[in-house]
Amino acid sequence: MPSLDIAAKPLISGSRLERVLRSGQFAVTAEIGPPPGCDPSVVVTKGDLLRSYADALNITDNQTAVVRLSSNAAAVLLIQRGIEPVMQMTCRDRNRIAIQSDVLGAASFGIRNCLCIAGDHQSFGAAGKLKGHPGAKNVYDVDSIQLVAMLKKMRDEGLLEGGDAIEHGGPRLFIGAAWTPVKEVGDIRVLRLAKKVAAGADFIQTQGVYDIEEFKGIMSRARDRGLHTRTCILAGVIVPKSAGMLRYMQSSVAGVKVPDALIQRMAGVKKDKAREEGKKISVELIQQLREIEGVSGVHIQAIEWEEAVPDIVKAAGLFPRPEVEAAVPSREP
Amino acid sequence: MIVVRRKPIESILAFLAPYRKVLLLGCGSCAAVCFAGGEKETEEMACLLPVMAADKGMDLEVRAATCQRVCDWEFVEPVLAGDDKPDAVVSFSCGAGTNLLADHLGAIRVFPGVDTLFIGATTEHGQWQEMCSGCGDCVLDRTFGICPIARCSKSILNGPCGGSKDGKCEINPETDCGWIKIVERAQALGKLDDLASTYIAPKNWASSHHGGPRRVKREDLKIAKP
Amino acid sequence: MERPFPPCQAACPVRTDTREYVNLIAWGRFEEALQVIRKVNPFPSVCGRICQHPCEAKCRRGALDAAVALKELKRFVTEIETAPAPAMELVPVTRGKIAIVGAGPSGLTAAQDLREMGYGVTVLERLAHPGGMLNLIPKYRLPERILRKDVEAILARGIELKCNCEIGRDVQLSDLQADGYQAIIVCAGLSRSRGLALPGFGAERFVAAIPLMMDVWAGNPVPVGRKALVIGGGNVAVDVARTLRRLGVEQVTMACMESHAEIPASEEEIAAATEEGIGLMPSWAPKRVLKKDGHVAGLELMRVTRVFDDKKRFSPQYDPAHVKAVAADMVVLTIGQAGDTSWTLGSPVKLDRRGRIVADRELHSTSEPRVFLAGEVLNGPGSAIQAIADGRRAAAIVDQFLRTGIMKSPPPEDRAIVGEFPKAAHDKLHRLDRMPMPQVPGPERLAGFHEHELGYDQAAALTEAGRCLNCGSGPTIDEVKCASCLACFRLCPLDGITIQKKMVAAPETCQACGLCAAECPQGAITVGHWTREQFREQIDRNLDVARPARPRAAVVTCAHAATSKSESDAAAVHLRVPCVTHLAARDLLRLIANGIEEIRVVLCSPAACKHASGQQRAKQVLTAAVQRARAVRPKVTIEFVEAGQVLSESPSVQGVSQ
Repeated sequence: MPSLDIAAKPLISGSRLERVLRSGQFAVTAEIGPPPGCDPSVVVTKGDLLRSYADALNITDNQTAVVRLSSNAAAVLLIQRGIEPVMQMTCRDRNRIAIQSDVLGAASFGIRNCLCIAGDHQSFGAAGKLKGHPGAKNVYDVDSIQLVAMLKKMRDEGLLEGGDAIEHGGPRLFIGAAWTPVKEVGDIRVLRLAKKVAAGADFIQTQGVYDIEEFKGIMSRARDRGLHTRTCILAGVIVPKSAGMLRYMQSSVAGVKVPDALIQRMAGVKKDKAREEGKKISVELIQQLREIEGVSGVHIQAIEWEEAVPDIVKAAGLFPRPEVEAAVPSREP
Repeated sequence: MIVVRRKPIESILAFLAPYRKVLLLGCGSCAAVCFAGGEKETEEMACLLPVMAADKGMDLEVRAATCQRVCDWEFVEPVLAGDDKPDAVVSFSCGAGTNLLADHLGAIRVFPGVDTLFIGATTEHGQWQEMCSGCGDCVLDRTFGICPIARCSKSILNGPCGGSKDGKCEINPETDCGWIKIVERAQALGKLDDLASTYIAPKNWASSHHGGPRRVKREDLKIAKP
Repeated sequence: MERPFPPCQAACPVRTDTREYVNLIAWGRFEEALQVIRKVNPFPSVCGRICQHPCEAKCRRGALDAAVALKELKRFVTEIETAPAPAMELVPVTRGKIAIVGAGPSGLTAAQDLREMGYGVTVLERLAHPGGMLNLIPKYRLPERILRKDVEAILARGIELKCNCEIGRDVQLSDLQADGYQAIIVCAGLSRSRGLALPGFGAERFVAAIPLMMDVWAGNPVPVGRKALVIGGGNVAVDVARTLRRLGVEQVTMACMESHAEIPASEEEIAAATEEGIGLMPSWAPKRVLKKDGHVAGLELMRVTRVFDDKKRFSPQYDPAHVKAVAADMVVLTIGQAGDTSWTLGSPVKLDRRGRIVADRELHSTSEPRVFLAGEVLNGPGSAIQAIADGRRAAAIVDQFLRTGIMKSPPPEDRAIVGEFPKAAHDKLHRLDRMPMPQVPGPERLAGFHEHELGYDQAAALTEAGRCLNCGSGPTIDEVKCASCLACFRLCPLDGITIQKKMVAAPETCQACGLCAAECPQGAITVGHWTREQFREQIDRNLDVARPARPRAAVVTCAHAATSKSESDAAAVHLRVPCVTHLAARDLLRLIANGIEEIRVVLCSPAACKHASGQQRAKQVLTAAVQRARAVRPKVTIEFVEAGQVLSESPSVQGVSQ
């Protein structure tokens, strides 16, 4: 659903994602998990697989505090292959100096889309079989909202957070932020979304949505505040692989609410059919999300199952992706 | 108070291997109040350490003493006066006291008998919680008295983050989400709008330890030398 | 915990709160000082003149420079002009009646105490006027009006006085007993002079002290010679000698058995006598009278080799071979007094074989129930203040007996006395000279019996009172509030505070400068009687008085600096503190919060300041406080003004509302 405000503004970054959203078409982003190693082919392979099925590809940034090939390096790998990345930046591992430096670095490669998130606590890394780095000193010099504001200041004022001028002007960025669209005391999630928008978030990618009714409710409250006209909200869809995965997310993943009916549905399916069902569920979710006013796109997360994305996008009627001017790899005035 | 926790007795004993005469110095302030390093605990150590030492074939002579506060030298000095000086002192005060001892004691080695944990308050008898991180630039006016730096795992200033679930922090289901507490407090005070419209800018960490070891110097209190 | 007695109070037989009245004087609160004295002493004016001041003997200042002139200060407050006291409401008589024989200091004290307890009291006095032996003190030491002032104040409480009524002559003990008196206290004193078995005694111009002084008091003509010899070394002997000089005797010599070092008369009296040209012959005793034409012509004196034995008992030894003839046409014996026990004849009050009244000195009782003794008649010769204390004791015992039927002497006080000054602190104290008592010069005194000690003026009194070391007056540290921050420990200029888990102050050292109290972050310390609340009240009252005007300036004067000419800015608020060291930041902030923009602190110069090192600290802290206040009131200023060293004739101790 296009929104007049956004459509009227001149292009901020010129990124493909921005152009798609500006055109009023339903945007699709998908997520790539980089490898816990330095082999670029993993990133490239996944990128190639998904390049036609999404307008931009998020690369996670040491997600769950597990050391992986860095998001900005992976973004470079993608952009050099003509694939538009959404670089993810957490606040956990870098202070404002490093963040701004990395943003300048990324911008020098033509990377424009930046998703600003707080980042999982380092204690997460030691989950399952992994040892992780739970004893690492975290940074959290700035929080995600401050990060959004910081990037906006770089882009719009050409100034670093401390006030110094950026040589030759600031980078052209399309600034994103995350949203956990669940009901919470004081409706704080909506209030926080408002703060992110106020800080300068151009696009929002939400945590995975399974409870459409609840999401409708919170979207209505977000619309009441006019937030949907000032930012582009892409609803998150996490592709379930099994009932167990759904149960796990419901119990243990913050911000994800899975209705019982959905769990039962997955549970009622035979094991070897679970993944198919998961794709089906994802498609249905996307279709329902498209109906909600204020949802500008969808962000598909198929964790360690990127291959599922093309089928889902096709089945959801979102293939082919719209033709817009390609992202320009180098800086342009 | 500064909440400390006694180190395991084996660790303490391990420090003392090269020493014979050891003074266990207890602190009558924070360490006593959190039942880790007061007179009682120090005396308990004084009972147990020699036994453990003997088991290991160590020759250890242990004496215990407690003073009102180790972080003011005037309280410690009388305890260490006299000719019978120890070879080493195990301090059961927080690190501040232990450091001060080290600054004063010269040839006598100083060891920590506790781990200094945090600035906290009692939530229940026997339970203390971190409340303040000593950042040096208090924001409690904007967060209704609840510290987002000490009580949020990520020290987020505009929280909560997405990892908050049912009022608990993602890192531990027993840890309260500091930001949900702030929101609840704001709500109770009818100040949710204030919270909604308050953006806290990136913190100047220079006033915290990140700015270097800190010191307060009150010129108005300085006692002139006669 | 009770604070220990300061040595002055401990030495006083009636436990006068000497420190308190001296401090009140220093703060300009003269009325209150007088009340403190009056509370325990019915003879404040008399004692201010003639007390032997055992307090001064114990004053710790004595070891430093000179004892504080406690008696002179007492005199000072008794002399201040006060508003006429409102008519005293008499205590109703709710208990029985008591008869007291003798209107001397012990009798009148017992009378007042018992009257105040609700007994009806009748005092019988042998002489025409009350006052007992106090009457015989020469008028140049104790003017008539002074004695009368105290006596009248006592009698005004509703005590019946019958003069010219001698027990044993005008009224018998049995009469009193039959008359319904529930108790009788005999305070007849020692009204007889001791004589010597010397021939010629009793002849004209060879007399005893008491009859002589009685005649002088009565204004009777007293035959005097040109050369007088006074036998005796006590204060009475000096009284006689100095009286004789005023009666025109050109040459007066005192001869006494005691050696110079043992002379019982006080140093002041001896000094005064010497100034008046009286000669002193210690270690001489009369051997025989020298006569000429039937008149006394002098005494042959023999050397006294020893007065007291090694057990300090009176056991004189002489060298009769070593004699000296002293010419004199007048001899007065002042060798002691004895009581007149003739009234006991025919009464149930028994005497012992040596003619002394059988009495229990602890219980003041005689052989006859309900008949008691008090004062010199019981205890032998003593000072006025001892007699006052004894009268009090007797009254307490009588009251106890009449209420409960039990004879019990008041329990002894079990309070510690402030110890000696530690040397380290001692060395840090300023030496300050004792204010001299203005006196009429020696030769001029002899013209008559006018007072020759002129008394302190206000400036002198304030200065002298400021010398008091405030022994034992603080600080008290509230253990509950004390956070053991160590500030007081570190700040005390005299190292008077020790660490014993909580802070403990050493009473021997503290001079009550107030620094610790001013800086204690917990407000856990009080020093002496100065409290923050008091100062707050003073501030509030002064501001109130100024309304509707809102003064812009405040002048805070240290009590010790108040003696000098301080400024008299009528538009300012004037406040008094015992010393600038007592001033806390909070106090100044209170002024500032009330609109004061200019603060002037008048204090003694560091050389004169009793609390010199504390003064420096106080200035530092107060200046910092004003700096802080500038965040809110940028124009606030503080100035420290040193009071001049010169004492003013009429010090501007004004605007001090208590």
